[in-house]
Amino acid sequence: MVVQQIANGVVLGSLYALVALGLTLVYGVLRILHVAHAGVFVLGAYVGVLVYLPTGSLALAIVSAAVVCSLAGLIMYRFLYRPVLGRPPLVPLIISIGAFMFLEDLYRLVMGPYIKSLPVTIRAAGFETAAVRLTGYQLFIVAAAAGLLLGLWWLMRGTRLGLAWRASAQDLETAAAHGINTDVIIGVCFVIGSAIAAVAGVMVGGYYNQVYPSMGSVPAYKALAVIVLGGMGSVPGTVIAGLALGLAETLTMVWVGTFLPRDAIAFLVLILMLLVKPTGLLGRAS
Amino acid sequence: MISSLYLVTVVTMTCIYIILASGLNIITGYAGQPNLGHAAFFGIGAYASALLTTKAGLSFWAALPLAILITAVVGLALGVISLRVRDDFLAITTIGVNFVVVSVFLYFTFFGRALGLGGIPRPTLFGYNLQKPQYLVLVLAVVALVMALCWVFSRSRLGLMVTAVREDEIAARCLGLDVTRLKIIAFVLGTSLAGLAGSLYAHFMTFISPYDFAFPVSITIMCMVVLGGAGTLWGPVVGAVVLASAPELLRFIQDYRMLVYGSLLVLLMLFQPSGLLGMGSAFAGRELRLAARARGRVNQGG
Amino acid sequence: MADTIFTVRSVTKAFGGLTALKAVTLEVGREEIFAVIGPNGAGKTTLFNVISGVYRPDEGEIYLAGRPLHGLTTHRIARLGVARTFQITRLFKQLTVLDNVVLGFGRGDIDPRGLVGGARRPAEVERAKELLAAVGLKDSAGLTAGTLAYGDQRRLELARAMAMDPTLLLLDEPCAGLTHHEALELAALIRRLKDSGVTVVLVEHNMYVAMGVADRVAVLDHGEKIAEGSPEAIQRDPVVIEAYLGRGEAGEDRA
Repeated sequence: MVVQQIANGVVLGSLYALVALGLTLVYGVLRILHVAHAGVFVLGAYVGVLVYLPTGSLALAIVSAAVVCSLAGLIMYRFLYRPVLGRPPLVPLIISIGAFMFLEDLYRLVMGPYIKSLPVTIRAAGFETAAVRLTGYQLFIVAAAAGLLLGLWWLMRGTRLGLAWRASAQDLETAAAHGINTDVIIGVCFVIGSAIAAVAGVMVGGYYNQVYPSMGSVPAYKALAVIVLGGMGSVPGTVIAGLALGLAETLTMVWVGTFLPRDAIAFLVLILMLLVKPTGLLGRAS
Repeated sequence: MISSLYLVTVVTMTCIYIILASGLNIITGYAGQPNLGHAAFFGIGAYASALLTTKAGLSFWAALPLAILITAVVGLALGVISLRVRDDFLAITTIGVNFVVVSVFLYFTFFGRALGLGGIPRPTLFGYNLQKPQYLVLVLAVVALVMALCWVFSRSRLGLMVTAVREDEIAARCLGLDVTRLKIIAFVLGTSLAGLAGSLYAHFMTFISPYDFAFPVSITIMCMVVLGGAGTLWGPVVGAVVLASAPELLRFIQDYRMLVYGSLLVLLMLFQPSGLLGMGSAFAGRELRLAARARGRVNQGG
Repeated sequence: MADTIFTVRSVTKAFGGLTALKAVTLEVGREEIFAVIGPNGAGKTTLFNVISGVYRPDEGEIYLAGRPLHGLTTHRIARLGVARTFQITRLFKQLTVLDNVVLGFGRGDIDPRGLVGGARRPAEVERAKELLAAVGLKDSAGLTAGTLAYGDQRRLELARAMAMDPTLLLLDEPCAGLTHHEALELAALIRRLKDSGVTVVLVEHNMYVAMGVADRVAVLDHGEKIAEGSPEAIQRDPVVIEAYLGRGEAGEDRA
């Protein structure tokens, strides 16, 4: 039972980590809380539905979602955030929340208010022992998350692009002064982050077999909690925090029972932690 | 056809939003502290007042000040948090406070869970039970009182000091301003008003549910403040009147409410971040406009 | 030196591995103009931040008129009569020039009358206008502070600090960004302040500005005090010349 819950927690945590990564990439260079990222996540899920239902190809669905969402991410950066760089942090935050509300309502109007199903089937075999049972799709989620994270890790640590990103995250102005085209770096962050969110969107839609306009509401703000817990702008911190939250949520169900709804746990932990360490779990002192 | 009772409801709700927006304006507009969980305090006031009247058997007149007090104590706690956690972190924390408070309402039988609380009495005055129209008169009187309070605050030395904290915390400290105390004062004042609004709301509706105080309500209140002009006396009033009455007057907006609010927030922040009554607006006072023009000159010159 | 009013004793401040101030000791006399000079990164601004309580010293003691300042919060230190300006001006940009000065009055005390009465009492407005006139901003009282030109912003900061009626005034590179003529005017103003009974400590990167106005000078280099004395003595001090010029020339040779 507990082993099963741990396995479920890892699956859930992988999804949290994927959604939150885009926020971390953006926060790292721009110090902007990109709430509308969850709107991109939902867009990915809808593109997944539109492509998967007629073609039946999960790969094609994921790739198209990634492409469409990358573009959407870039457009958001260009028209929502770039004009207000350097303003107090509340300005881009309000813009982001406004854009997210707009997107949610837009999905409702265009795609209808009802739940669309995304009945993904996958040929991979499941995994089953006496203690734990994982479906092939759950294994696929964990494997895909691990693959994406490793790829991102390689990109950050092993390439010139990653070096430029880390320099920009340290100090955007100094990086620009040293000839790094920070506009491109920021753009790349939005592209990569949005593409990962799109993948997460399709996978979540398939996991629950549900895609609906407000499916981003809870992830939008829970992902904020994840990146704060992970120390704002730290990629490994985000992954750890995502997994920890997934585990915490599933395990409290087992041990403590549902004394609080699952969605409040993230924020309860967050508020307590911020009081102890205002810079986040792995955060650097300002 | 618009019935007069319907009109009474719309006007009462607009008044309640004016109180909420004016309270948030003290925290975010004057003191410059982000608060994206204002609806949580609205809810605390409403639930406190509802429980005090239905379960403890108090009258509305005793429950109202107690509800304000209870809300202010929680607001004080948030003020203390704001001393440790700043800017973005504080914004996320306030979002978190909103989610946690609504969860508490949803999860404890004491708070009626998802069903909420019902049977909240309307106030009696001189043995006479106030119905919706008479209640509106009471609400209007409270709004007048609240605006008088905000007017006094906005032109007081205290108000000026709180604004200085928003403008530059370190400089304020170096002038001897007790930033800690000033921030807490702002949080307590702002959340007290939310508690007041909550109590008025509970006894007007006679029925409340957790979703009346969820995060989107916080965003709506923030929209009102930003639309009218944060840090101005009348800005939140204008914002509340426009946003609370527009969906009622223009029915077609009702279906696209979030679409409209969302794009409004984005466009305002991009093109008129100081709001309709803020600096540089055609509706702003003459002095503000001159100042903005002068600033434009300096920017072009430098 | 007649009688010491302000003492910094063995103050040390480190940030991680970097020691910004190493056992710095200063004694400043009543109504003296005392300059702290040194190359960039010598620890001058850190010294001011430690005195005004923005940073806490790791070790050492600071006294103003016999009262300890070390360990107090910034606003308490300000209330004891320490006013300061900043290297990069920190004005309340959206407030009017007049309100910036008014906020200096009363050293931040929340007077109960201020809760209901107006933000500015008539006597305060009069006094604020006098201070603005003294720094040459007579006609700017109604403008928004953020709209002022850079030199005027520095003057406004000075007027705001003077409004606190300070015992000790800390000026952080008051002449940075000013023209030669403006710097001379400012030096005259600082001397008038001294005559009105204020003790002034200023830090300057530009050694010649500091020499012109100060009664005594201390030199910081890499967080340590390497010399102290009259401007004339400092100008002749070989250690100081080494710190300012020696390494500069050597650096240019290498470049």
